[in-house]
Amino acid sequence: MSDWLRLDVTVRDRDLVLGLGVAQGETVAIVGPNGAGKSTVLQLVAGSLRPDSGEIRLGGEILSGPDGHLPPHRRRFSYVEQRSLLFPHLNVLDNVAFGPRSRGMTKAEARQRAMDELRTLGLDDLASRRPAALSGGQAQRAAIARALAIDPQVLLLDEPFAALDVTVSPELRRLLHDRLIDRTALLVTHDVLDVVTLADRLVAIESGRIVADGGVEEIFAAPPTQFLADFVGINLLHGIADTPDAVRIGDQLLIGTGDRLVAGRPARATVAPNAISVHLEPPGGSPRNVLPATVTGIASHGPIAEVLLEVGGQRLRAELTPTAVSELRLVPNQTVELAEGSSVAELCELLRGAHGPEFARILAVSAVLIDGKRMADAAIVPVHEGVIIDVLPPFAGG
Amino acid sequence: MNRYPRWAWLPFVGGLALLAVPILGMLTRVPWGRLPELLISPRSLEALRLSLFTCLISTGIVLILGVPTALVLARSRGAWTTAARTLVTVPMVLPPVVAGLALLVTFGRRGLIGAPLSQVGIEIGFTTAAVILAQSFVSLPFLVVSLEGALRASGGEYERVAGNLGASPSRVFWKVTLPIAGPALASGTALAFARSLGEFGATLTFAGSLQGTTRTLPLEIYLLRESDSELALALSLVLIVVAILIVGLATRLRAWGEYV
Repeated sequence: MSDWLRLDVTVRDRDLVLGLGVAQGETVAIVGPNGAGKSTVLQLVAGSLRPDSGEIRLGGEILSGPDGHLPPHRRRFSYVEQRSLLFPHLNVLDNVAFGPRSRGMTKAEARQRAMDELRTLGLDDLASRRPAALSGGQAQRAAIARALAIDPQVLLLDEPFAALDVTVSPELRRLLHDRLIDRTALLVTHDVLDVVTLADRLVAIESGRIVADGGVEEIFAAPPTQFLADFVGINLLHGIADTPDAVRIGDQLLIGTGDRLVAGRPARATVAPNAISVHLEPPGGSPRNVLPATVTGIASHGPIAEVLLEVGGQRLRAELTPTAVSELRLVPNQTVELAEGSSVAELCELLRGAHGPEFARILAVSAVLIDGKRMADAAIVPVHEGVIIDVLPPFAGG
Repeated sequence: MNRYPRWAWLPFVGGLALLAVPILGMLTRVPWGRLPELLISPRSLEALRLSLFTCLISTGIVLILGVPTALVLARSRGAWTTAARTLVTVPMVLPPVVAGLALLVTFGRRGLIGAPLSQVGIEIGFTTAAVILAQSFVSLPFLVVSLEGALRASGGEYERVAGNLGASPSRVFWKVTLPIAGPALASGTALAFARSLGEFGATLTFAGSLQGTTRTLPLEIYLLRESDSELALALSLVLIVVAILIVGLATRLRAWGEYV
């Protein structure tokens, strides 16, 4: 894919030196420690900050460079922040119509455009409300509608869900995922769920430099820096949705439940490292997904031992107590049974395809037991509570 | 439970009395029966007309100069801003007679700017224009200071958002900055108008006291205080009523600003 948006810039007083290309239609997540320069990247693209040297290009056009700087209002990028920043003196409809109106539409056209956007986001009932009369989730949804109403060439998202209640953000994430299809977006986030559900690509910035840039799967499989390892935290398995409640990984099946999963589509499943237990023999009668795995490495970090496993060619990190590891007498390259789902597993499905996007809703469901040795006709028994199915963003090229 | 010591009541009552008793005392002396007759007397009407006319124009000047000034001060940083802010605030605490003298030696017939103007036949000193200039000088800081605070509190975030959405800086100013600062703008305008209306020292020094030309309400009241104290009291009553209305309006607007 060729770069559509391209930054090659330095900002001296923030010690930022980076080169970043974004293809049209791609959603790139930017992560990094506080103060690393993530938001600076968005400000550079938006035009509120001018680089000291270098260029920012969109298509063939130079937005910022040594010879000129296009001010923000002459660019077509919208910016959604942690706070919705709706204009307090305008109602929701006029907030959303502000962008189209500023870009030359008549008042009636702009309102029509705004109303369409509000309808898409399920906000048409609130069109005449003042921002002060909205809940946090509604306000942020209106802010997203306002950002989309100008048909931005690039949507800039700066921790869009960080200030929201956890009960509200999944729904908003789903809405945003729908609206990001075929749009180009840069997403700054501190939340691994944003990356898993929305991003095609992951870029990590530390101290003003890009330290990792790649597909979400590759970086999750082998986080190249300590920050990314801590950020990722959970394991990501990718495969193909097999049934509405299962993801096939190689010839193994990882099961949860979802009401709208579409079989045959690419899917991601996340598994918390502390939700994995390791056995030498298949555990009997225990409420788990059971998958055969190979131990590829063991490392000790004080009170916990990290066991690296391979399942169907993909890497999994398990956190065990040192006692458990010594009892198992684990050695690398030994095949073991892997039980997963003892606390929380997240199965995710990605649904970008010829038939358009669909999402699994977040549900608390029961996990089921799969006998790893008899996959084809495994007896499926509901056992464990707390499995979550979440939506997934597209795989790169998926 | 009281959150203040009980003795605080004593100065509280004393303070209120200091402010209220003279006004109440004056109200007892106002010739209520002859009020309509006094207020429509030619001398009274002339002072009222002149005050209203000059105050409306000076408030207009204050708005045209003051709103952009407040915006620039609120959105700028650096040593020069601090200096400019000090400069804007000084006339607020400057004795009006000093302000009048400063204006006189600058715009008077032999002043720095007045002399060249006089050469081409433009006289400012002791004209209605001088009254307006004096009023603008003393009331501009009131608008700038109250508006700048409000603009700074809103932080420019909405302006940045509007810019990203495609609004040009001028459109941002008219459609976002001004409406959001609306309540502060209105209360600042009311305060500036009140200050213009009450202006005395600078006007007397710089514009003199010519009936119908420069003798505004406060000057007329001063002049009449011994010769026709009943008319002076009647005109004072007008100023008190206007003051109460303006303070009430400004308070209401400020509360509305916090609500929005």
